[in-house]
Amino acid sequence: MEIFRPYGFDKTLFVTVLILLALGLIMVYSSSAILAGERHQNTFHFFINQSIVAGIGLILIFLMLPVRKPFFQNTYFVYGLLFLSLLLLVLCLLMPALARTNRWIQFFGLRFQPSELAKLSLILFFAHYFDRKKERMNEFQTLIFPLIILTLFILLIIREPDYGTAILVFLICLIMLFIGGVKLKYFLFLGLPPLGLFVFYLFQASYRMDRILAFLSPAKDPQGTGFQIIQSKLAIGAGGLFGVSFGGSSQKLFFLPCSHTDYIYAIVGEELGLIGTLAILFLFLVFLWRGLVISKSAPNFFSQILAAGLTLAIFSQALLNISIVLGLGPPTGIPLPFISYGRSSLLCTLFGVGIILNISQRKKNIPKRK
Amino acid sequence: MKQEKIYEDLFPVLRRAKFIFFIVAIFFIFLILNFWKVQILDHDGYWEKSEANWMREITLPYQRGLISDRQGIILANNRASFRVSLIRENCEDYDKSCRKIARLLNIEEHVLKERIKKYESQPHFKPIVVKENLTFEEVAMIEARKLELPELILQSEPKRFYPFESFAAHVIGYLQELSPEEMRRDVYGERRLGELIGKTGMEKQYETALVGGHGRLIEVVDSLGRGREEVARSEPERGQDLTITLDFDLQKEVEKLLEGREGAIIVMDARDGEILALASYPDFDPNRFINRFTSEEWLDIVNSPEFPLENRAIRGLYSPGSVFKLTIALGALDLGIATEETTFVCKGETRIYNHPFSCWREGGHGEIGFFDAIRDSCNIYFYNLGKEMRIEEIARYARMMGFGSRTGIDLPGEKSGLVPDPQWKIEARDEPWQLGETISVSIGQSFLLVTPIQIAAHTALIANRGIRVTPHLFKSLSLNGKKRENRFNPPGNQVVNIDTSVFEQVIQGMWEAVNKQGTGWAALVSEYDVCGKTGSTQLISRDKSEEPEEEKEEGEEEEEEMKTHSWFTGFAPRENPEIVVTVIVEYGGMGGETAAPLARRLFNSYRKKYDRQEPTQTH
Repeated sequence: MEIFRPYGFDKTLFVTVLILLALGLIMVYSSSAILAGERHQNTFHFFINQSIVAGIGLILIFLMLPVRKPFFQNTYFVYGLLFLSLLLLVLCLLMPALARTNRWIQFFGLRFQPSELAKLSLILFFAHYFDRKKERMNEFQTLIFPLIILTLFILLIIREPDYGTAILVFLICLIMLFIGGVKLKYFLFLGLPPLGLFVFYLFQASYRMDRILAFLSPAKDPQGTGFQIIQSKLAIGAGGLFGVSFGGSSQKLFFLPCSHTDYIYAIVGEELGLIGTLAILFLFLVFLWRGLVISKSAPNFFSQILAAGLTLAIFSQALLNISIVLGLGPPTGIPLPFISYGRSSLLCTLFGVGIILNISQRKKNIPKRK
Repeated sequence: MKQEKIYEDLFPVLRRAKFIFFIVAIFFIFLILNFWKVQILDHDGYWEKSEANWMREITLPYQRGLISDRQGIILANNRASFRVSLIRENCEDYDKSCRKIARLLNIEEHVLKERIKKYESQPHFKPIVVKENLTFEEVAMIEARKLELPELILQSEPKRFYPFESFAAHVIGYLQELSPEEMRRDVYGERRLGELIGKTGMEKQYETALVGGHGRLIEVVDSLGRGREEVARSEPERGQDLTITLDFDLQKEVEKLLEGREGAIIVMDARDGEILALASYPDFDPNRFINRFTSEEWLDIVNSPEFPLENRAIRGLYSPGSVFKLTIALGALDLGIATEETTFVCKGETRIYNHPFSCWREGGHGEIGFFDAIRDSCNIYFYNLGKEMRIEEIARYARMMGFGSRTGIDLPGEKSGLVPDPQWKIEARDEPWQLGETISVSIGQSFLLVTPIQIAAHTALIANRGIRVTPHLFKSLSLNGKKRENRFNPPGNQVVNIDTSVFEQVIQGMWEAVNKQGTGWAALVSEYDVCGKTGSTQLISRDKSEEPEEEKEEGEEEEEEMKTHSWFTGFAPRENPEIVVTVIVEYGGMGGETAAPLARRLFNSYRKKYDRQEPTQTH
């Protein structure tokens, strides 16, 4: 039924990820050195933290590669992970606020952002669920359970508050529903409750409306929300074709807030120019291509939907971040996968990559296809 | 057949993934076109803005909240001041410009460099303050050399200013620069290096309310450093204004009375613990601290032998002396050891546990009763009561009266003093309790240490017949004239578990001490029913109290004039007490001679100001 080739994983995808990681680390150092120097008296502070997590992530991938049994298809694993992320999200809201938000939980001095884990576990859950119910996919009883789960997660993440991530989670779930084969007309009914939540919470906090207005006319905003958009575009524009040279960004000198996290791509644009921005876009495109190829040759429905889902989730997050940095969307805090500073995000993304690579080692045992 | 079924099912995943792929591809091309536009077509425009002209961020300083007394007289204000900062990035030759600047501003070159070194970790484009409070001549001089010295920028900022100089300095406190070590603490998370923060007093206690938020101005500047265009601006936010319970006039009088002496005076509202005046002398001028001065100047003040920075009212540790007899009297009555009729014979000296103990009056008081013992502060009487009570009970009543723990006044750094008992002595000194020490404690000597604010709080407790109030200075916070939430919530008034009649008897003694030719006669105010108790004691540091008790008694004999500190604490009027006055004058001689007359003047002033009209303070 299925052939497992240990270490016969997709090398192109792996190398792409490695290049993205390396670029990311370099850019994290370049964009955070000054901030780290001022705040932590050590210019390598963020770089070291990110490197450690990248190392752990790679070790994790190598541990996952030789696993013959598809552990990610195990019901206990999938629901266990789903329950764990739900628990952590609830815990998050109960924990004392950090920087006025409840996005992190903290134990033994380590901080973790459960919403990153939530993305991963939701993709696994949808793949698993649809695999079980593929015979009765387009029935009301089948769809009501994912809808409840989806709405619950979005509600918890909005409450943190992390509106941007909530939207991303919603988008990922829609992609999963779509490639899972849910008929388009059902999307209306599936999308309504979460959309209602989004509209409700949009008007709950004035800064969200401000951000959208700032996005529509950045020049008018005096309070600095539009400022971020202007600065980001200015950084990219100043880069030109070849960039102002590596490490030469002047925007990261506190002009551009979050320059090593959500807006790192703007620093790439400034320091490495169009060459750099297009190179990263190209790398993500290769990632998408290989991911879908892996999905196509995967041995069963579950592996296919999982590989495609993970690939599309990472890729769409990248696109979303890049569009925001370019000023094509209202500013929300979404990190650029592999590149942005953010340990929880990096670890979870690399875990996802590990699953994709594991799937790439599995082939159908049918001599001839179509 | 089955195989085919699965194969059919696989189809939608791929078809739909492909569909997404196409959507994404279109979006991708759109993104590339956008990058092309921003990075290639519009590049020149952005480049010009970002590089040929550079931007700078200027901090717009906020106004720290004002501090005013209960009548609205402003005690801590802000005024405009000019300062000049150095931007290291703009220096062509760092050493050369340091030399030039030092000469121009008339500061020593090494002082200047030391100051800049403190901020080494800051990015080079951030301005570092090199001199403040510039005179107009200096401002003009710097302005004139602007082209020559592009590394200097002039800024004006609101600056803390204490119009009455050393007035209430210990209450208001002072500001100092935030140091790199402090910055790492969470409390100051959003503050910047070099910013002025409250270091003591109200300025520290209510720091978070008094500070505002910095504004930010980002502007495009040309190659000469002149601002050309504002890119973004956020206005600074004002800090909240603080009103404290001090009464300007009483505080002024208190400080006048203390002038030239060393000591502390507290005037407190007996009913709710509001501090009307609190002074410690010698004091200092908080205006001096605001200038970012050199370390030598700072050491000068800190190392002064008179400790002007020490707030004696809450941090000075003294033996309570005869004032403690009130606690013994309360305890003895409450335990039934003494009644109004209990008498002892005082012959001027006595032997207890084979040690000689003497009364302050050489000939003795003869046969003496309870009220007279308080009135005349007879040592022999209280030796006997203390001996009966034993040290454990004395310690219990002392703690009940608030000794040995902080009163909770909203001033940082309050000390808790010491109530000794056998357990403490074993733990702290690894020695057993000596019975003779109990006798010394009965008249407020030995290891017993209290702060003046504890004495004031304990006096209020007696005046209120067992209801404890928390001394405090906070009255209200307001922002732009609008009241804010109450920051200081004094714990609800606790009731001490001693019968009211016991307090009435002790108060009778205190009343006689002032009104019937007792030791506190000098505090007499006609028709105001002042009740009080004097005390004379030594300021004992912990090391000194290690000397055996007998030696100290002898030492006192020889140098009494030199070393005795003078206590008075009292309240008025006797029924429905309104005000508590506590005075300690170091090296002041007997309490009745020095401290009591000062208290009388304060009772008088308070009465003149508040007694006529019904007091309007809110509870």
